Amino acid sequence: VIFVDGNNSFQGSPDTGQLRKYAKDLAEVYKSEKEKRKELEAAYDELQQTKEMLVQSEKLAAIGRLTAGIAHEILNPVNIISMRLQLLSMTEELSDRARDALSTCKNQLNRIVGITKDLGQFSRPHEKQNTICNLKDVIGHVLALAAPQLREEGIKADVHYYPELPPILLDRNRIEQVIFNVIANAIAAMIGRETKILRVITKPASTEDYIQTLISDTGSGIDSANMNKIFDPFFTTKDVGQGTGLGLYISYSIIKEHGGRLWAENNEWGGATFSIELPIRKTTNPN
Amino acid sequence: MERILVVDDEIEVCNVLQEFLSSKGYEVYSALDGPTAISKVKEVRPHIVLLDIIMPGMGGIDVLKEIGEVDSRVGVIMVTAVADHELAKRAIELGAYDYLTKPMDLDYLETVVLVKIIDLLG
Repeated sequence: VIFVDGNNSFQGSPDTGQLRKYAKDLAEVYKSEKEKRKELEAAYDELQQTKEMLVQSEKLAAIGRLTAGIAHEILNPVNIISMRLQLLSMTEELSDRARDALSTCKNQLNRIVGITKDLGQFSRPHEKQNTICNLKDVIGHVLALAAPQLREEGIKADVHYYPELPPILLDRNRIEQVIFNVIANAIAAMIGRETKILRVITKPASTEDYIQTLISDTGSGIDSANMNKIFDPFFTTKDVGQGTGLGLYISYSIIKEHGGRLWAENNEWGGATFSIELPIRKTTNPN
Repeated sequence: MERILVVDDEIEVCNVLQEFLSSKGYEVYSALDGPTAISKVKEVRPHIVLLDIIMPGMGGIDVLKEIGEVDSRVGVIMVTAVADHELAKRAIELGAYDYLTKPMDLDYLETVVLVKIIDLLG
């Protein structure tokens, strides 16, 4: 009998010592192969995740260009209708009923304008109002704004700020808008749930020179079929009239403009966790 | 009477603005494209030009440059559908007096026009 493997070969009947050594070597080879396989799987998963994020990013950029064009085309006729209505109310003697109807038309036009302006902002360059901010202050401000709603819904806020995070350069109002959007979604997701916890954590990101903010809820999580759609414009799981489905789309665009990343995963509570990664910048020009 | 030229490729925009500004006592002209706008500027010498930034063919920025060469004192007010700060900044650098976003607030438009007219006529 000849036993052969990568390191051992011997002829005839092996003695116990040889067998033991052979088994030990084999176990080591197996262990090493298993580790290599694990590493490969992790690298593959990471690659898949990066690929999905790239596809998502490209898809949203294309949608952004398209919607900005549509927004522009919608605003032209809206402008004409709006000016005609203004002229009517300036020049004509109108009954109370007609004046009420006119006021409703103006309000609805403002609604269209609001939506088209939100839509247009993905691909449009913004006048940046970047300042050096402490992320703790930014989140604290949003949490203070959301506090009455959190109290009303019986949601416990569990906030952990990493003690030594450096201040970062950002457009404070727009980052507050993102955090507010994500928290508002988390609050909505926890309505009717038994356990209601909103957890906010800041920490250094795994990517060097980035800060990560994790916002987790104890809602019912994101359906796997919806995971790739939640940042699409007009995508919403809320009832009709409860949301335009633009909040996360705008949030995504704001974070992207800051050179950061925004993504979502389901968490160990069965709820959702949104991760916001923002770069630590020292200059006043983020581009 | 002070003269205003409205430049927009949408005829209905020209019509509404003509109706509104005429009711405020201005002499109003209109042009549906850039080359016509430049001819009208040479012909009627307006005090104010309301100029749409995005038009097919010759865009608002190019028209603005040409108007500046004809008469640098003309108060050009740019009109844009989507607030694009970079484009607006560029227009102001090129000599535009102000810029308005659609949908236009007619009360505000009247004020901006009046302020520029007072400035021009001293």
